[in-house]
Amino acid sequence: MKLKLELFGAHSEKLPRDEGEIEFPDETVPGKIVDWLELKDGDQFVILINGHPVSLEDRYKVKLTEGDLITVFPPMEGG
Amino acid sequence: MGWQGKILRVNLTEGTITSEALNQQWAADYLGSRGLGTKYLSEETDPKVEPFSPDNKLIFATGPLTGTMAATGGRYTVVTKGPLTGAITCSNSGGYWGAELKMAGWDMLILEGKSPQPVYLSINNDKAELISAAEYWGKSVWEVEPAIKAKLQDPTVKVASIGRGGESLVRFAAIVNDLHRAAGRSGVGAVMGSKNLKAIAVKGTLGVSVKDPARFMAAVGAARAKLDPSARRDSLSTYGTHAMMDNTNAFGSLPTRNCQDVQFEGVKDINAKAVVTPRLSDGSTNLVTNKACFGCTIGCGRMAHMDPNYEKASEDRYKKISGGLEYENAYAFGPMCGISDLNAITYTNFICNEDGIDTISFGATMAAAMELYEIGAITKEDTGGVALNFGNAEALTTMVEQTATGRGFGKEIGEGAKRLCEKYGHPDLAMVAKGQEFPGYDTRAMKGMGLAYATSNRGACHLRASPFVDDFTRVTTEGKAEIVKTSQDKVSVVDSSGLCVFPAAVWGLDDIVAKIDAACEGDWTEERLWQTGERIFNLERSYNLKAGLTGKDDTLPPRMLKEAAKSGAGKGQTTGLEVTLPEYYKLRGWTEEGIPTNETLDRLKL
Ligand code: SF4
Repeated sequence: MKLKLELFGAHSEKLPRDEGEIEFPDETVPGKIVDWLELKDGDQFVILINGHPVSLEDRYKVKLTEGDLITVFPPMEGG
Repeated sequence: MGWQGKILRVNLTEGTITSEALNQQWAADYLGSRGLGTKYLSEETDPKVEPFSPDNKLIFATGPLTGTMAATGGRYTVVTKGPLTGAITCSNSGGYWGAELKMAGWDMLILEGKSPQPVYLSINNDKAELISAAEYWGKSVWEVEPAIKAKLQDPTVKVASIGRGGESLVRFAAIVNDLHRAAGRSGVGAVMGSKNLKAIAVKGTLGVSVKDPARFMAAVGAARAKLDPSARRDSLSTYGTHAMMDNTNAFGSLPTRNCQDVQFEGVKDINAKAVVTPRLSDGSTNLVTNKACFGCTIGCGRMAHMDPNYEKASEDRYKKISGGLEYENAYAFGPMCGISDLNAITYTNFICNEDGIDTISFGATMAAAMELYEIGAITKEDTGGVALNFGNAEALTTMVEQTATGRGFGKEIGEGAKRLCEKYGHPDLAMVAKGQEFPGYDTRAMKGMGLAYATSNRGACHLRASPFVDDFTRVTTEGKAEIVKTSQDKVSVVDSSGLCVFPAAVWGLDDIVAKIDAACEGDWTEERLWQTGERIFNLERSYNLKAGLTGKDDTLPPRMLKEAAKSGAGKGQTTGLEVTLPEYYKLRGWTEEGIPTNETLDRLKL
C-alpha cells in the first residue's frame, strides 16, 4: 500500500527528501509508522490521517487506505 | 530563602523610594510573581481604577525560583490593570532582567502615581534613584537601552524600557528587556508610558539563596534529567515555537485572513523550514542562531538577520541581528494578514521590538483592519491612501511603522481590534476575547483552546492553559473543561514560581514542588501547590468581577461560535463553548453566572 507521509519538527530529516509516496505493508497501522521512524518520545507524537487526528488509544487500531496522507508531528505546547 | 523578603516601592508622583518587608503570609499563600503581584494589586488598588490613571499601579514581580539555578528560572511578570481589556493583566518575560532584579535583593517593585516629568529608575542592589529621562523620551528601545548603559558606564546593567509605542499609549504596548525579550501582552508598556517612566535599569550582585542547597540542586538535576533529553526540548531548541505553524496548518487551526480561513496556502514561504533555507541574495539564512533566557537549557529564542537586499533593510540598524520569528509573531503578521513575504514579516517584527508593541495584538488588529477595508467599512481616506487588502505586505510594514510610533492610521490600530471594529461599525469582526486579540489557534478545531481563550483572566491567551496536545488528538467538547481548568491552575503555579511555562510540558507539579520546597520556607506539597494555583486564578477572577466584568465576557467572537470552519479537522464545526463553559463553571465551583460561590472562596481562603 502506498501512503503519503509528512513529518514536521526537529526530526523531519528522518524522512526521505522527496515528498512522494512510500510503500508500506498492507496491514500497516499509524502507530507502526511512527515506530518505524524511531522517533524519540514517538508515543507522544500527534498523528493525523488526511488531516484528522488519531487518538492515542486508536493509533494501533485504525486501518489505512491506499493514498492516505499521514501527518506526524511532535507534541508541542505554547507558541 | 527563595524570596528575598523585600519590596521596593516607588511613588512617581512624589519621587519617593522606600524599602519594605515582603508580606510573608501573602508569599505563603500566593507563592510569588503572578500570584503575589495579583494579591498586592488587589489589596492596594480599586479594581474600577482607570488603567492610565496615576491610581493604577504597575508591579514588577519575581518568583521564589527567579535567579536560582533552576532551569528556566529567569522569569518575571508585570501585573497591572490592563488598558486593552479593563481586566487584571499579568505579562510574563524572560531574558536576564528579572533575575537581575532578584539578585539586587528585591522580590517585587511597585510603581505608583505618575511622574511629572519623564524619568527612569536606576537600581544598584539596595540603592535606587529616579533620574530624568528627558533626553530619552521620544527614543526607541534600541536607542535607550544602550544609551542608559553608556550613561551608567556599565555594560552589564540590565534594562527594561518602553519605546515610542508605550509613550504613545498604544493599548498593546510592551515592556522590552535585554533588547529581545518582552512583557508583551495586554498593554503593560502603555501603563508604564502613562506614568512617564521610560526605563528601569538594574544591577544586582547579591545572589539568591535557597533553604536547602543540596536538596535544591538534586531537585534541579532531576528535573533537568527529564527535560534535557525530551523531544519537546529538541523541537523548541531546534525550530523554536515557530515549528507550530506546520502543525496548526495541517490540523486546520491556523487563523488565516482574520479567521475567515483555518489553513494558509503560503505557509511554506514563512514556516520554520523557510527561515533555515539559504536565500538567493547572500546565501545566508533568515535564522542566525537560537538564544536562551537566564538559566535556560532550552533556548527557544530566535535571532534573525534580514535579507540585505530587502529595501527596508537599507538602514544600518536593520542590518544587524535581532529578535526573529517565533510562532506567534509569524502567525500574526503572516497567515492572519494573508501575507507570505518573509522579509516583510521579519521587518515588522523588528519594528515591534524596536518601539515595543505586542506582535500578536498588532497582527490581529491589522487583520481586522484588512477585513474592514475589504468590506468597505474603512477606505483609503481613513488610511492615508494605503490599500489594506489581505496579502498586501507593504500595507503591513507601513502600518507597523505608524502604529509603533503613534502616527497616522496607526493611532487607530494602536487602539486594538475591539475598539477599531466598534468604531467602524463591525464589532463582530474583532477576533478577541475580553478585548484582547487571539493568538495563533483557531478555536473551532481546538475546542479546549476556545474555552481557554474565553475564560482567561487577561483576555485571549494561549499560555494561561495548556490544552494543546489533547486538542490535537481529539476534536470534541467532551472532557475539555477539566483539561482547561486543571492546566490553568498548573500554569498559575508555574507563572508564580519564576519558571518558564515551556518546560512545564515535561514537568509535573511534582517536579516543581521539589524545587520550591527545597528553596522556600515552609512545607510545600503538590497538593498545596494545586490549591495555590486555584487560589491565584480565583483571585484574578474576583478582581475582574469587581472591575465590572461578568460571565457574559467569557465569550468568543460570533465567527467562532456560529460560522463553521471551512476545512481541516474542525471542518463544518463551531467551537462548542455553549457546552464547555457551563461544565467549566461547575468544575470551578462557580455559579451559572460565573461567580465563585462562597463555598469556593472559603475553601480557597479568599
Ligand atoms: S524556553 Fe524559551 S522563553 Fe522559556 S526560558 Fe527558555 S529561552 Fe526563555
